[in-house]
Amino acid sequence: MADRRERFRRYMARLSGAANPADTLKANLYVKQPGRSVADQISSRLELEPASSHLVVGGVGSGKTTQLLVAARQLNATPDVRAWGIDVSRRHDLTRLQTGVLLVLAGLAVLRRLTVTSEADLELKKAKRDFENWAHGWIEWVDDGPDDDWGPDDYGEPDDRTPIQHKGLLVPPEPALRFDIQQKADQLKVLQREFSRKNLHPVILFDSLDRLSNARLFNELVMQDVRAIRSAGIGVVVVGPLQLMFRAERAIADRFDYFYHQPSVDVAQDPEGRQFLLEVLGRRAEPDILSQEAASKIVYYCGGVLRDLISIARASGEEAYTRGAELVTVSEVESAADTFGRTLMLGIDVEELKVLQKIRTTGTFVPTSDKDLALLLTRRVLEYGVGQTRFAVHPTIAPLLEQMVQQ
Amino acid sequence: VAFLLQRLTLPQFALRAVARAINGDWLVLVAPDAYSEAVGAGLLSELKSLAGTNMHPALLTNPDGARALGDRLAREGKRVAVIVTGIDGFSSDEWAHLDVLRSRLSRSGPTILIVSRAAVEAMAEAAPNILSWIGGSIWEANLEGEGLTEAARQARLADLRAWSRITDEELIRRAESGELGREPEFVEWLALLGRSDLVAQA
Repeated sequence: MADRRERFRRYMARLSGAANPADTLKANLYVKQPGRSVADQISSRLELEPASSHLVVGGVGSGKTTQLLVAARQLNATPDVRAWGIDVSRRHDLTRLQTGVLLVLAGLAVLRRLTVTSEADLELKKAKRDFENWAHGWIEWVDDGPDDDWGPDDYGEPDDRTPIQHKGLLVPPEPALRFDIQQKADQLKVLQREFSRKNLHPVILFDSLDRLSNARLFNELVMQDVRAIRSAGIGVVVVGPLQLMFRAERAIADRFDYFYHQPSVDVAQDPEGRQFLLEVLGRRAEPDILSQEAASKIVYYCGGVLRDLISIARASGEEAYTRGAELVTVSEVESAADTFGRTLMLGIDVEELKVLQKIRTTGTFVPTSDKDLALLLTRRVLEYGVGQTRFAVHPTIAPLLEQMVQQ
Repeated sequence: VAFLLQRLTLPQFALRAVARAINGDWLVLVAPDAYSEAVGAGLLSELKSLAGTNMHPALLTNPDGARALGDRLAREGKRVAVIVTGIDGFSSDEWAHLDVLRSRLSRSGPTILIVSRAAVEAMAEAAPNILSWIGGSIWEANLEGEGLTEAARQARLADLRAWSRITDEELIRRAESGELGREPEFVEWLALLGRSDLVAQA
């Protein structure tokens, strides 16, 4: 009995949808995707263009953070590159995000890798002090202003002339950096110079910004912070919101030097993809507890979403354990997939249901409205393919949708 | 559109929570709003009674918004299984706030949310990242025999009516005429109406 419990505990321990991807890498559970992964592309391009900007976009649970971590690891294996990842949501409340925050986080990240001694030059010391002030605030003592009781004498002689502004015809394609952003960028350059002296190229990778639902704010961050970091000679990689793939927001993605899409693995049409997902499971689950047939079924039901693969495998193990079984079989996977599908359908309305039925039967989907995008964000609809995109409903909800038609 | 969730008694749910004791998993138990605290207390007692599991459960009640929930979770011991109640009043904005805080909510022990049906639906819409963490780990509390029968029975009946879009009367008519399917939900529904005698005819 204890033996069985231990076997299942080991199985469950390696399957957590909420696990930190860094732990996955440390535990050697990472399996490289077939072909050139997003991490491969980012690292090789940054090796050649260390001050370039990169945007990564993909569905929830598709493995973006893992790709960022792998890219950082690969870059740090390059002798003249130093790469650091920043999970913005751990350092700053994303609901209060504003321009300048990414710049300050970049400055602090670079500072942590510099030794600024009392002998350091004044410029470097000032840059250090400025970034610390910008991050944590400071108190400034100012002289009292002039007496508030202004009398007629203060105004002098009235002027009859009225100024009329004539706007110039030329409008720069990109707005200039704001004064406060330029100020921070200048100080970041001071820090970057210290790395240049050692022939090192810093690269910063920002994670968590995919959770921003405000595309306008993301655009401002790109136009100000990302440009400023890049202008300081520092490479920058940003994980951005999924909606940048679609609609007018696509123009924001074009502001980066390179754009990467991390789609779900196409389990229906890509045999290599299926094999990759089987390897991911094989790395975590012994065959004496997860049969090959059950593993294949999990791969099918996850729809190619890595986190869903892990979640359904874990739930299947839990089903087997609570049923008193020795092995995870197809029956437990079916049960886990049914439970999973029901949770994906929570809160769905009639209009969304119609869209899902249409996608299920015809495969047609043109995401235009906010509601359409919400179907993608909640993984009820999955998008596949690089270049030509294909859409499908999540495989765990397809049987539920079919049942509804039959009723 | 209401989809039925798998139902678990508190001991059944506790067993699943124990299976996650070594992971920082998030689990959700759906229970009527009015019984959130009672279910939380009941689950706490169940988890404590499971000997030899190294489970150290604690209750976290009525956090004042997403940020407070994050702060209070961060203060709990790493391995502690935290049962959260009193979050049914979270607005969509609050759930969205919790969603962007997700990285800060990462912990080693399991986190169990006790929420109403309406709250879990709001979370599903506003917090896709949290929902992705939770995966399929959402169950409905089967409160029969827990001293909460009538309210739970009514809540379950309401779910079943919304799911099937038919009335109790129509259900009984179909069962009597042999037109009712053999889905477990219909069997459960008839039982809840005290008409298990019709199951054989269905």
